[in-house]
Amino acid sequence: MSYNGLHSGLYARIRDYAELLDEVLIGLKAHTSSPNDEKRQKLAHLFLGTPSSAPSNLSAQFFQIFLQSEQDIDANQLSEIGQALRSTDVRANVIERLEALALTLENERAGMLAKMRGHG
Amino acid sequence: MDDYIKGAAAQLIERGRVLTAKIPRDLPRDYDTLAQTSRQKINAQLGHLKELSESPLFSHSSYRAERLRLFKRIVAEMDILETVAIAALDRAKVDDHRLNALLERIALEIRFPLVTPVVTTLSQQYFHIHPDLNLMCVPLTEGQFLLHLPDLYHELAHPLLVEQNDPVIEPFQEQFLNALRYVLDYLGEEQAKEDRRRGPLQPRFLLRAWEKAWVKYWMTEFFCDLFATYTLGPAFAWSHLHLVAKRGANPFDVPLTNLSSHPADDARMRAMLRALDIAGFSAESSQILQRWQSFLAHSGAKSEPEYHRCYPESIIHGLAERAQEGLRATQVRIATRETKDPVHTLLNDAWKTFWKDPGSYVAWEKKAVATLFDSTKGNPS
Repeated sequence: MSYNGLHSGLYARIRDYAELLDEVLIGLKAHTSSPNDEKRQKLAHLFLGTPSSAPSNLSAQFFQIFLQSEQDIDANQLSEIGQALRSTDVRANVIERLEALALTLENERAGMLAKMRGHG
Repeated sequence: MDDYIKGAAAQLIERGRVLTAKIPRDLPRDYDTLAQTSRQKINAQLGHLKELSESPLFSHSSYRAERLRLFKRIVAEMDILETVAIAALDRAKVDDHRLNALLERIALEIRFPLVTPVVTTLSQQYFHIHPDLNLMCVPLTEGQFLLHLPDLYHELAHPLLVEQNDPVIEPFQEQFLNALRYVLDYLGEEQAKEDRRRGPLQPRFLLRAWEKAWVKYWMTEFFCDLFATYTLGPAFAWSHLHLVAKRGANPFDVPLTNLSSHPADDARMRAMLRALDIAGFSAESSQILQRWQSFLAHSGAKSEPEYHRCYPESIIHGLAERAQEGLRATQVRIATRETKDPVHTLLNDAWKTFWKDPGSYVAWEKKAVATLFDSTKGNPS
């Protein structure tokens, strides 16, 4: 498989994470979001990972492994963010960390697209 | 910037409408899924663009970063739709139709558990797939030859690793994760050894780079190779030798500086050979190994200690075993010596014929390709 093809699968995954993160961020900053919102729950699930009793979720597991290996975020930090998203009180420092992650994911997405187009 | 985004969004909306109009209305049914996916994706992006332009929220300074990121992602999606999906539909011709019929037959033979991807011959970069569009791209003339067609099987595996919430394919995904954890544990142990030694920083840096490469790219490539080996058999390993001999770089490559997107070709071959042994093709595995070693000798390539540290035998074997375990728990058909499916048989026979008499292979292949595509004409796809 070519570089292009290999990246298209990973690209879609990273793009979806970035999309979800921004959507949740907007809700948090606008104070229109609650812990029961579907997208916020989905994002919390990505940060918290899959419980051993649940069916395998490759996307959630990959998100965890990706952030840990690529962004040097440890499992405890991921869990803290996930728990915060499940609570009613998401503090400013959590929003700041989410914003930093959103920027990182966006840069990763754009870099990957550039490589797919042969500009990387 | 507000004015810019409003103006650019309006132009993109018009572009989306033009793209939708470009979708041909007279293609065979094989293309319906791609046409429908393209329409839905274009409409979704147009919806996002309207929201960007019209929502009062986005005129507030607190959301500028999110708005710009959203805008860039929409532009990227529209670019991919235009240059990949709509281009494939707009330029679909007889060669594409034939390959679509062939892929449908392969999917039936191996009991592929997802919707069969659409094929286009627009690829400028060998075989690849866009799982998001379920679109496989192959080089223009590849459908007229047999020896590289085993790569179709490799590409079919990619969507299996992306699809969500499907219990039928979850066992394969679980083994993918299992294999990834196995590799990360190994690299973690190696990292701990380096920490205890308190030696130079470079080995630790290397191990970290390998970890990233395994997570982002390599495990996916290994699992797709293994899917292809288990579903097609020896022909896939032969096609790997063919590709590497023609286009490969250092088969023992280990990334020392930049992140490498593909695992070393020799490591990939070792995984395929292990899979062939597991699947009962030991005789063929030995023949391929012999040819591979001959190729390596000709290439003059030599493995360095880092190569063996990056791809130890225990890891390679562990991947082959886990992939097989995952596949066995799905409904996918694993090839055995008794498998007689027509496309499977033809692609394996092609390699037997090639090695029996390489000089007369081309004439045999021409006839075989004609017969293959004559027989796919009646395919109900």
